[in-house]
Amino acid sequence: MSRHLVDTWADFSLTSRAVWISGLSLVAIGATLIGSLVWGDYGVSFSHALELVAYDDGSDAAFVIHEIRFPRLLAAMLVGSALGLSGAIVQAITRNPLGEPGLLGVTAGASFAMAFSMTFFSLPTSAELAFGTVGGISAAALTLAIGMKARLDPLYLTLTGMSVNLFFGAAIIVMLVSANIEVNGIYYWLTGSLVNRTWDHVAILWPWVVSGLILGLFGAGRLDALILDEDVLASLGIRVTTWRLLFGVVVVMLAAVAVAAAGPITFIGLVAPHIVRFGLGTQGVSHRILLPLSALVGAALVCAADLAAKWQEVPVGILCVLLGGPVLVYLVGRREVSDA
Amino acid sequence: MTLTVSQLRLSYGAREVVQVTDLVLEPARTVCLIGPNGCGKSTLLKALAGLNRPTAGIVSLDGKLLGSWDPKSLARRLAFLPQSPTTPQGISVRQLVAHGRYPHLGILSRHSTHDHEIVGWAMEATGIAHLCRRDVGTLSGGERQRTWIAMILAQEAGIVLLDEPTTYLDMGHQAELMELLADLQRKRRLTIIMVLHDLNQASHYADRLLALRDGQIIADGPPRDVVDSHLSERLFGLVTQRIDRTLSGRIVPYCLPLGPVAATPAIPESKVDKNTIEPAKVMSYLEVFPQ
Repeated sequence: MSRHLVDTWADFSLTSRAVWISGLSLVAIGATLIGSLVWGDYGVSFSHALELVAYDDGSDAAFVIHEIRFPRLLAAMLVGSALGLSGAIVQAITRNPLGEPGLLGVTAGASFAMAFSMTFFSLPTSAELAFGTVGGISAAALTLAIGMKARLDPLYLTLTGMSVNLFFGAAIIVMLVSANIEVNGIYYWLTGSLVNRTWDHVAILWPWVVSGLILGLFGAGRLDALILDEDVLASLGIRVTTWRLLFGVVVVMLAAVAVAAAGPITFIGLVAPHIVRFGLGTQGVSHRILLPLSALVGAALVCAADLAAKWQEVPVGILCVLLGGPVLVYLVGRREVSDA
Repeated sequence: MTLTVSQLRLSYGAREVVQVTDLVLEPARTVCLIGPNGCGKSTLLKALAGLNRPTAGIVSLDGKLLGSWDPKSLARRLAFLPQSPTTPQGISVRQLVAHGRYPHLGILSRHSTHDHEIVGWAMEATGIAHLCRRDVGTLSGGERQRTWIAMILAQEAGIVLLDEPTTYLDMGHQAELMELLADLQRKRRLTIIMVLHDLNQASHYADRLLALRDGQIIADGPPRDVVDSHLSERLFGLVTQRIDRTLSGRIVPYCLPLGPVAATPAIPESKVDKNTIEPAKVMSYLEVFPQ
């Protein structure tokens, strides 16, 4: 009886913490929503902005809201969710708490493809996005193919991804050095930016984020189990390699589309799940809770970073690191203390 | 449920480590695999769990090759605990034990009330119910091992394979864990197949003892028929004195170590007599295994 009460209390406190985290994230997203609609070179008052969201009167202000600020905000939210989600999944499949979505080679692959397309062709937005996504997926496919040799052993997979990232990172530099062109735009993209993101970006992002979330929740039980040893998993009847590969593909898809849309800001994917774990006060939180909350926190982080980026005209990627870096250091420090 | 092995050969790369011609493991018995380090006993155990692909021969459960079983339905019948598995970080005892339910869950791996009951029962049975909220990383060695056993129990498999479950435990906790296993074996009529390091522990708890040397079974039978100095010399290069003890009508042989074969002069057969062992020495040794 008393044990039952203890359990209920613990579940209750976990639930209320989860509600707190989602509430805070939503407030942050709401605040950036207001801020990013109102804030910018073209002055729009808050009440006017709200009217224009509801009704497009064909004015310049309406154009700014509908075609520039709103899609940019949505793109930021979706990129953040994709990264938070894929970060939480990649940390489970590589059994590495410092895992981030770019770990499987996606970031450098997508960056290489984007830099390549910017250097040698001038493609329309959606084609460029698709090109970047395909680049990220190809690089990650290479990682997974090599990783299959060791049946996707977490350490082997991590090292392979690192090598693939280094290879494409080097290839980008070689290309930019040898191609004799104006490279400022590419550098700007390579630091991560959400400037001039349109409905095209939103249209490509949302189906991936939604299906990624559904697949993640569907496999949450397996993700929870993946912290166990291979032999233990196998004897529980879990097809370890199959699930690792399947979730690897989900991570790659999410990360590739997010990187193609916003540049290499996968750091968000490392930080968001840790903020959730820290907020919930436990490392062993079920992925059923961890995944949606990481998506939400990721969205809030990218939105906030983008708003700040708009204010100072600094690329969002740099702000993500500036914002997330100290948070991570703090979280890691706290963890060391609590372990001791 | 009967595990059957036939013409089995297991290797690591090019090196063949186990050859077993014929082996039938009947249900509801405790079988102990014993042998020196590197004799292939863990490899054989993993093959019995279906985790090692044989280079030749077959391992089958109820006449069906282990490899052709669906992993989940195999896991509902057969559970395997490796030697000292990595302790996962940051999860509670209950969460770890609950993973044992995996083979019983549906596609969404949702736990039903029944699953929660089984998890609760497994924790009660292993005496860790009061620890259910504790982080697995903060447990002592004995508690941790009981948590793993609880996970295996939650799996509700009839056959349980354990690789040196008493490693890293002190004598007291070893005895405690072995008594727990023996008790569960009786109550649940489990088939327990385990690798043990300690010949005396094995002969105390085993219905059947399998002795392995260089990947081959060199002795197979109830402890009273196979345990003697000859066996310990062949397995461990250790000269021992066999001492029999009767436990609830069953003869349990113990081996009192006398020294390595090279250093100990062979005991003339005529001198081997149970009465020549000082009773006090024997008693202090037997205290390790309370009746």
